[in-house]
Amino acid sequence: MDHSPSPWGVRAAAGVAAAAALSLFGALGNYSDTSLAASQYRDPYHVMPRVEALATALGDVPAEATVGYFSDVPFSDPSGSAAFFATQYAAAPHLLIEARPGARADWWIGGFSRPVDYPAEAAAHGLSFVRDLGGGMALFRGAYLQSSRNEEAH
Amino acid sequence: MPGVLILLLATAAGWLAVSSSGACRGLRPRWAACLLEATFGAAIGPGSVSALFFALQWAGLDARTAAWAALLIPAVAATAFFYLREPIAVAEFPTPPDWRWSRLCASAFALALVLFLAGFSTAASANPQGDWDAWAIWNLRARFLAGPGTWHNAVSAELSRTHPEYPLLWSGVIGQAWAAAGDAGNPTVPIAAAVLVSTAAPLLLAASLAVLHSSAAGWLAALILVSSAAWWRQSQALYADVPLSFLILATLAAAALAQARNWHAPALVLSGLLASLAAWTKNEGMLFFVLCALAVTWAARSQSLPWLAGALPVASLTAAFKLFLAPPARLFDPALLADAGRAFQVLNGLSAGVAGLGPWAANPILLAVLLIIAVGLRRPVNTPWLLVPPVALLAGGAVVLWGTTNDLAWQIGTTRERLLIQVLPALLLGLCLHLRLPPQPLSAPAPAGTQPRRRK
Repeated sequence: MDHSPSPWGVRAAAGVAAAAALSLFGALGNYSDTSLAASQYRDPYHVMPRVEALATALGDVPAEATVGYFSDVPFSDPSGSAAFFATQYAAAPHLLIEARPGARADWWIGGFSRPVDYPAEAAAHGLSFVRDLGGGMALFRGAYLQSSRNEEAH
Repeated sequence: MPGVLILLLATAAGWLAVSSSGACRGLRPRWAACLLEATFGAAIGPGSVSALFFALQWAGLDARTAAWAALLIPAVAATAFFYLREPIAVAEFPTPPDWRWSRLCASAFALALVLFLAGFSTAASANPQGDWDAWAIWNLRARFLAGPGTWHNAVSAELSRTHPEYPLLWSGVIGQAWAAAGDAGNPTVPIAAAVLVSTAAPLLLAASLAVLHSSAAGWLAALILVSSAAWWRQSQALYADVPLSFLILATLAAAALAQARNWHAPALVLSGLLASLAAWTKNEGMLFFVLCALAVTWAARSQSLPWLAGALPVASLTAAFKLFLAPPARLFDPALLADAGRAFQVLNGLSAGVAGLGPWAANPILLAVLLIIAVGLRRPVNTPWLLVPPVALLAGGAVVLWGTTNDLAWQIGTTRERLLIQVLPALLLGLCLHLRLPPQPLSAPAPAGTQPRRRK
């Protein structure tokens, strides 16, 4: 009886071995790429610092309150939209809304890309300054946000 | 850590429920049957708890009470069912034949899985918040669901830029664990949940193919999946697309197991429940649910009623959510379908997406084609209908891209890999089921239990 492997058996074994070897090669490459990416890109949108900053800072703001957000960086700017969404996540379960004409909220978070005088900013927007939240953010109180002459409300 | 334990408890409840149902009873090899019960449990446990958690909050319970009720009710019910059920005698499924190199394939998969988990750990350490959609959409809404009386924020029209109309399975899985543990925002929960589904999916793929085809085919398919660069990226992103792909795979695997045993009712009920959980996950899941319902109804005819019964509870919740809660969203304009140039742009984009699933030497689609060429296809084939739902879902996704109201180039770039990942495990299941069986000649009949259903 001929016990030599059939042509199909040899082809199948070769195909399976090739698929397995190439898959493992791919997995090794993925690990290398992942390690490189992890070393180069750590929280590129600064989400976790905002989460830490707001973890307890909004303790006296009722959870069901609507909180508005304004910034000196326009939403149309990628860094401005990233800052808004990151702050929206960090502020949850409070619902953070964008500042827009007619927007009403009882509380406001201001995000600033440069050091500013928070009480002066509050006055410029028709709000009252509550406290510094750290990370360029501050908490304000007021029902209605007036646009500042010196910045674009988004 | 408490949130992770809550997640594991939900998984254990799902495992008990699957074991009690008898959906996997009598399957062979035994290790595959056990693995199927565990991985199906990882799908229906957290998913069902998520659906119940949302429903209870909608009914008026506070988050913490709803979170514990959503966990304890199914856990107690599953435990009671497990101990009180009368075991139903089920004919043993014949053990499929296998190749000699099955254990080598299993070893290769184990090595790839270790690399995958090591890579996941590295990525999670650097970016515990995940990629953009993870914190801007899914985990944001999880925080609303976990907060005191704030669940309705998850469907607020104020979230117009981040899809408030999306179903809430994945946000509910994470939000329920956060609420029960009293630790909302802890990044270990979404990370653990992502690890759970991204490892359960290849294990489910391996186990289902081991039962329906051969252990070697199962381990090979799982190896191809877990080695895919796109699977790594999407798993580490912490989005809802890998959970959806897991549910799609589980739905079709359960349906295939049902068909192999003359439309075994418990497996059909399981498949229907899984399909409804897919609908509760993303809008694409809703399309998949409809496609799968049509496919199963066509394949099983009058025997498809158990599938519909299994789907009814969560499908009803999803329908009610869409009708009464979800804000309207205008994401699609049929008038744009008249532009053929957009269609070519979509096809080009999807082609690039297929190429991007991995480097050419390790592209999962090319590797699957390599296997088909090397091993050959078996005849007769009796499960081609299994490939219809994932392929149709891909086609449906392409049509949605064609008519998207967003910038087309941007939408294609952000969507194509996620759309392909949603169907990749199911496509691997469908393709590998049709590989030639070992070690039979081409014209040999299929093994017992896999005979084509004779039309009456």
